[in-house]
Amino acid sequence: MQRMLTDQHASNKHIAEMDYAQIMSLGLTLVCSFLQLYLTDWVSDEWTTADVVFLQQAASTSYDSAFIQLNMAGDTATAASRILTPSSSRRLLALAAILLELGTLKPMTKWSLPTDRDELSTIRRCVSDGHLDTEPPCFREAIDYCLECHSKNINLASPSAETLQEVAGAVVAPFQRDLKSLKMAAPI
Amino acid sequence: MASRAKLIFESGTLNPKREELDRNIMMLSEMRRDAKNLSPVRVPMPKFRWPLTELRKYSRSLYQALQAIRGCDMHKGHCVNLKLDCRLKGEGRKGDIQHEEEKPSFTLSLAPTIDSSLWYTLQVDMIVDTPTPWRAGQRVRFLQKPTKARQAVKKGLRYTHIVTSGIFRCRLPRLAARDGCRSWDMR
Repeated sequence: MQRMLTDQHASNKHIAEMDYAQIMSLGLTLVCSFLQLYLTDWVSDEWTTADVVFLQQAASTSYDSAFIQLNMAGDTATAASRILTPSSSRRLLALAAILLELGTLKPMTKWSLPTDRDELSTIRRCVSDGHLDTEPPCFREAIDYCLECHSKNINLASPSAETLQEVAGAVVAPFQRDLKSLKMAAPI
Repeated sequence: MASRAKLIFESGTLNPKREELDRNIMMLSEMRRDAKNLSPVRVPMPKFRWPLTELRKYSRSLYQALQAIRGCDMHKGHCVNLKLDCRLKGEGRKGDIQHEEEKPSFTLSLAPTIDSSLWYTLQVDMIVDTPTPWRAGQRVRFLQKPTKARQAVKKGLRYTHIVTSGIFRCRLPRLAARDGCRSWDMR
């Protein structure tokens, strides 16, 4: 996925192949998968688009199925320790970064400025500058919520059912709503 | 005098525009108020009823099972991917979002290298037994799925090989077929 966004030639080709419905579908898959996996070692604090892969079939790529890579080279002890101390707040920020890249179809490196202190300030600036305003609102809503949780340092390490419902309502429901709207608006 | 005449002339041309702008602003305000009032009616917040605790337990067990092959020289450079799945079945009677199933299955794609053009897919149905502290990572069982796909038995494990829309050629994954590696020998 990272290569799809960074490689200009590949990017144009892939973006041309993908339509809005596919992009939002992918966004929905990512946020749903995040909720399922963010407390496991499948998702690390440094989760990026590089960890999300598509499988290639001959000359084309199947975007309907996204995969997450198992780190086969990692240290087992480190991996085990990460399970015990998940930084849910950091992982929410990672999700926000991925959604920003997917929503704008540009990698973080293209959004980052020398004046940005860190990834968080880059994402905040992009949102406040309105770079997501021309994209489906689901991206902005989900990113806003992730940033809010991160700034409030909301601990999602052992969430209650109500908290999970709130998170799902804030990050999953917008994608469902926009996909539904897109399908309703699509010409017959 | 000339400047006053110019001002009168300008205000004369601007007034209709300003009135139109005021009208538009008023219309937008009304539309915004209506949208705010009607949105809870139009888009009820769905209730998500995923068994997230169970899903995490299964995916952790799968990760631990796969993690065991890291230390094995036979699998150096091999690549294992987990398919990301929404697990949204659709809306229920009351608009609730239901989970896919009680005991979910996971789909893995496997290849000898990341650049491989040939990937194997493996659908894994999991049942996690009551864990014991010292064998928690070994109590994952791969069970068969009642599909038309081929099945095979290796070292007490049953695999189901599925063909995904004809995209991938599937057969017994070499990763799992190596008898020499104890990592996959989970009973």
